[in-house]
Amino acid sequence: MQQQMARDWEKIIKSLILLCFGSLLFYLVISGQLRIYINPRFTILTELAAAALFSMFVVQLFYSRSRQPDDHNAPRMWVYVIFIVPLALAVLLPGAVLDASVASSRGLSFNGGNLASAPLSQAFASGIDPGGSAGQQANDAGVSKSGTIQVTPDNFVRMVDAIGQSPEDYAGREIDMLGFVIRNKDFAPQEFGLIRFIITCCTADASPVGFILKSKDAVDYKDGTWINIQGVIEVDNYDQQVVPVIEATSIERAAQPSDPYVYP
Amino acid sequence: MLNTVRPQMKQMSFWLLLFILLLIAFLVIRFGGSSLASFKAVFLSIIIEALPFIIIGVFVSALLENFVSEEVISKFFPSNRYLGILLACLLGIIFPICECGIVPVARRLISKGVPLSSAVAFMLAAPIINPVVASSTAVAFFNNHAMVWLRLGLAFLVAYLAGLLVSFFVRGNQLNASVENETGGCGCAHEPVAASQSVTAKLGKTVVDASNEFFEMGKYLIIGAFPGALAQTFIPRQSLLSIGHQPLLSVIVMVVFAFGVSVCSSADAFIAVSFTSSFSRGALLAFMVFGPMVDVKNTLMLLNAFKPRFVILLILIIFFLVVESAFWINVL
Repeated sequence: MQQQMARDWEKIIKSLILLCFGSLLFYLVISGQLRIYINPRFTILTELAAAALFSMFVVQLFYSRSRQPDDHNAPRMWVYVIFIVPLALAVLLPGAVLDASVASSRGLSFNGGNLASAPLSQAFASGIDPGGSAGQQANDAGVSKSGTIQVTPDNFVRMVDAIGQSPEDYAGREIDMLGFVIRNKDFAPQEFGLIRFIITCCTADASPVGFILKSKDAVDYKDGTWINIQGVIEVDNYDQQVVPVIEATSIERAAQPSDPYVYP
Repeated sequence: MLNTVRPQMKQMSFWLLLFILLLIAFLVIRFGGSSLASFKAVFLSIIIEALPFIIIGVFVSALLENFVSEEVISKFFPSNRYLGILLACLLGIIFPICECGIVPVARRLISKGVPLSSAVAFMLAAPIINPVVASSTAVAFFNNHAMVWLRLGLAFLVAYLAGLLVSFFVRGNQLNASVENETGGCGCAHEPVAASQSVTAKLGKTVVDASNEFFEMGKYLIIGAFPGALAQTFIPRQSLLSIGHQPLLSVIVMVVFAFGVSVCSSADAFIAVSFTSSFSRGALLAFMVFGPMVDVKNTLMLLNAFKPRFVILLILIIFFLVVESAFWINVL
């Protein structure tokens, strides 16, 4: 009798876990928070998963028979503790944005050619991207000879890549971009990195991408501070590589954007 | 018997929970609260990214169980072992199931009478030799398309040889007996598909089977994401770099790294490409071939589905095949 009760409980717990996972995915999609975990191009998969989880919930709760009395596998409640861990983390722990220390542990690279993102943007610009035409336009805009280069979340990957690949072509151009501060051990006091994380699939593959910035006020900005900068692109050597360096003309503190990552 | 097992499990869950809490407390004190947010971000992102794929996996498995009879499947696979394994290696092209969802499908194929060797070859090859992974690798290595062909070729070689070795040296189906009985949820996993059952009844049973298997496999995904997220958050990648160009050691380091981080096979090429300048080519290939075949979450699922001795044997076979061939790629 007691076992029968345990089995009913197991059924209810299973149903509740399915409902919670489905609701979590659904909530992440409608609240837009999914973007801080995975690249939004997988949104449709997450929606389908939520739908599947809801259908599993309904079937589990209303149609599945409880285990038969002759089933020798006792219900194992401890298993469900494992499923509750990620749910509890998602609900109870505030904030889920990668911090600056992760960027330095991932290894910084300021030469577009070395970045995971670089090849992506190239390939996308040449038409693999479903929105390939947009990529083509932005690429042309990047090559144009005059005006301030505005780095936005949409063109971030292409711009950083293009400038990193051939810094000479962009030397002397003005640039305007948002990012956060990060340092390597071997940076001079007036230098820091200005980067953002690029998410290809999920946060687990986030790679820090950006430029080296020079400013006499550099010491005022701690690692992880979000800033809006204007500056001029110059060419320099760093770690035996030719890299673009931005000589800052103005630095403004900014709030962390609600969408802190960029997606190729 | 039940009474002796239950308290043990309770104890285990208690210690597990205590361990997790202590570890998290230690990391918060050591690295500060914001690193906990990073950990949460990576941990949840691995799970959220993998959930759709594991759900696809358990649904394919449940559909196979309920709608495809054993005769159809055994007719599909040629009885000749060389041809059977060859076909299994290429099946991923039409069945692109990633490594999060492949183990339940492979297990289902075996319990439906597919030879162990073919099922193993399919399990190893499908997460790599499929259009999704091929194109993401091509995008990542856009200026080095040789890497795409090397990756696919190496995966094929490893899967084929592993399948062949299994077909010669391993007998029986190697499935865990206890699990075999459990898969159906109601202890009826081996009832033949009843032709008389209505489609609605079959569909209902498909969803029940899928959700049972979801719980069975999902827990390993969550446990596996844990060390993966720890490694991603707290191990500085520079610590790997000093050994990047030694032909053998670099390969072994990348294989161990692939085992630990548990990144999806459609994303790992982008991680590999970020190591291009600091790691040998063989090491990058080993990372992209070994990772989808064996990683923490996968190993846990394998241990659940197959006998432990067989899992260890299989991992050793894959390890030696991958390390050996990657080493030769480095040297030649």
